[in-house]
Amino acid sequence: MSNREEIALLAHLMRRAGFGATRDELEAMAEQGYEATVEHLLDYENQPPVDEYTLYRYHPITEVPGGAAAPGQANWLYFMVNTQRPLNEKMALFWHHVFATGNAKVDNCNHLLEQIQMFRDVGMDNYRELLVRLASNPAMIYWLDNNENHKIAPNENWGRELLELFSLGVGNYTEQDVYECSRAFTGWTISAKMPRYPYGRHPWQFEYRAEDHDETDKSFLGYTGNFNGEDIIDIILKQPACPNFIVRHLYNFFVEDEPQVPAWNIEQPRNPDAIRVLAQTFVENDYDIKPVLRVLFNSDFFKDAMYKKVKNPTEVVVSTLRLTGDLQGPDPRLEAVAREPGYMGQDILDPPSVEGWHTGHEWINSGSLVKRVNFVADRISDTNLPGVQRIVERIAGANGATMTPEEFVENCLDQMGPLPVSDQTRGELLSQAQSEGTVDWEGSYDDSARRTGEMLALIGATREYQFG
Amino acid sequence: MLTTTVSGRTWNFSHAIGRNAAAGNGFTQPTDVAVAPGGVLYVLNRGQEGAGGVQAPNKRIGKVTITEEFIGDFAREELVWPMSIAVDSAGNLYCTDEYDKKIKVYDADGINAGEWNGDGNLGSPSGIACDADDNIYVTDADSNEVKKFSSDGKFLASFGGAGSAPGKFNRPWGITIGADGSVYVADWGNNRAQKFSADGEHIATYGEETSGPAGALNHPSDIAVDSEGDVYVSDWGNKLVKIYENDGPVLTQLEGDAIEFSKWAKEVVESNPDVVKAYRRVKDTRSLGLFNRPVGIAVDEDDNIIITDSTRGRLQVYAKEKDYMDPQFNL
Repeated sequence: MSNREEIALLAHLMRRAGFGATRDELEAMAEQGYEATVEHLLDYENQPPVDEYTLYRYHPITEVPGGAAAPGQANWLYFMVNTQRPLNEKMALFWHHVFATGNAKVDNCNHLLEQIQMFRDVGMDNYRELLVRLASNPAMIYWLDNNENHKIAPNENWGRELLELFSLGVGNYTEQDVYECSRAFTGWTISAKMPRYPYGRHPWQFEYRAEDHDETDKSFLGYTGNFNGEDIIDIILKQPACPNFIVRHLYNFFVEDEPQVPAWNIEQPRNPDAIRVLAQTFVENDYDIKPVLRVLFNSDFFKDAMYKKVKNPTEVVVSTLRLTGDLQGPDPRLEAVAREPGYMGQDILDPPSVEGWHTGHEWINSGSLVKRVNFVADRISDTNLPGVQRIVERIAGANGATMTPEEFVENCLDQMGPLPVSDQTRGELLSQAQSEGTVDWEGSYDDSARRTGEMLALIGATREYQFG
Repeated sequence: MLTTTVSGRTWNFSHAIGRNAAAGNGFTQPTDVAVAPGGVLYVLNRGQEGAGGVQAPNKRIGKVTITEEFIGDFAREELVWPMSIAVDSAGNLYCTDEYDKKIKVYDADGINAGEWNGDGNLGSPSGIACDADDNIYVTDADSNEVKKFSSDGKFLASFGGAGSAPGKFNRPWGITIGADGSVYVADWGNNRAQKFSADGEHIATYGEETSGPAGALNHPSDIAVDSEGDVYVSDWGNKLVKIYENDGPVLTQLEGDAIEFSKWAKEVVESNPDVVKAYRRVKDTRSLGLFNRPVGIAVDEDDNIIITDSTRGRLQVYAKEKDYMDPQFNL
């Protein structure tokens, strides 16, 4: 593998398992090698966590943001932009896609942040533990009405979504299973918390009320007994559909766009062999998540999936900020920029429904595309930003004092990915470069830097750049 | 507990002031408090960033009395990252703006009286205090120094520097000047507070104990000293206020005791029957009184200790009682 191919592969890994990387970072990773980089990402505990003290000193409102989504979104954006544990943060985003919980109903962004922190804490550990934590998570309990799920009047919302969206998928259980599952989770509720007036938001606590739990037998997926919630989760984990469903989510998020989730019971996975390998790994490791991620990122099907996924809006925003060095650390623009993924169709902490977002090509429409392109172009063309200055330096030092338009386009594409583009795209970029002739770094560095910023912005506007 | 007694000293919780509100008689992330003559308190509301990124209207300086009378507020849409405030002998108010790298000045009526950048010596102005001669001391979180200016912004002197040795700082925040001119600094990033002579000679360190009644400080944000020399530190990271003897040993800590609503808070609760009902369903309301990010701290001439309880949008006031007598213990 050539150095360029290795850089391209590592760039692919970091786009998917993180939020991209600068070329300097990629070159440091190349010295370690691909597999070592995967291990580095998996062993996130060896890297320091985000410095929350600095965030809360300069953005105190983001610690307990309350009803408005924006300060909470700012909190998470700060984590994503500044984290040295990119896969850990990306997995939090993954679980937010799967266990989609929204502030539109919860109206307590602080509780959603608490859920995201739970994803950071256990989202790469064990799926059983994660489900138990999810079932007792106050934001989830309120979101899916389990506080309304009583012994004398079961509410099926949590029980249904646990089976349909969080573990098995449609077609792998009956309506009776939903009912029995819900009965097993009666009594899993939240204690009354102090109201938001007059001193702001107070924490919500999980509470198990034994007197409200249905102690009679339940018949669930072929098993009968006086089941409680954890027994139900254990039975779910015995179903072959469970590992298949979760690893298909992983495949969809990290490898290649699948059909939308509601179609999964009628449309086969794009790569059944990959699903089989990942599911087998999941079960063999007692539902530990890291081994599955290790197999996934080291697989040929992952390495062959370069640019086969449409970047989600959060990836567009965070990877652009990290690449250009914009919004590093506290910044008065933090809340405003945190709204950008929402303008592109992904209001983090506020998904449209428990089904989460429709992904892949559905991220792209005439409005969201303009927002994506403008966000990237505004930053990647700003030659005052440290990350852009570094890109310009690299291009300027690539091959001599002057550069033909062809060399210039090639170098810019290289720094933006390396990004493969169609002949038509290349031709259009070249046409623009040719309009100003040879790039003269020695004679006119500043003007060449300007041209570079404009070329990078054009590349950011291409069809190809929408894929990650 | 409402009364804390230790080593011959007693602090009584007095009352809370304000409520969490974006306007009117409430506060939004109150970050600092400064005492002015006549029982007047200025409260710096950090607020949140506006939709355009800067200068949201809920960033403001509130003017209230210690008896919870709302006088008004000012400086709306004039502050980006306000961190601390101080009042000079003439009643002028000085506010650091860490983003603008300026000190913004207001007169006793809250009228904007200009701003200065200290001859370009303000990299990241954070804490601020006035001495008896109306010199202005500012902590610079960028250069990790204490800087001294005239009241109109002329640079006079500095001391400190980056590091963790005595006399050095790591992103210092709050500062106060004692009656004898001593300089007290909350050394935020070093998890300690320090005392200096007026010309910067290191005298004492607070909060480095890792055991004992209060343990170590965690990112302290502000510091104040009472008429008897006891030192109060906002232990921001631990959500406590710690009290030290002037030469360093810890005395005790306050956890926050505002279990009764302030006057303004009570008006809001009582006007909303659903909130009243919601409170009645809560099993344990003790946490209602606890500090949630105490940031700024000040002591008035009567040795009332006033703390901005930032996340809760209120002030908590303690009174140091000089002639305290223990109650009969077998009551």
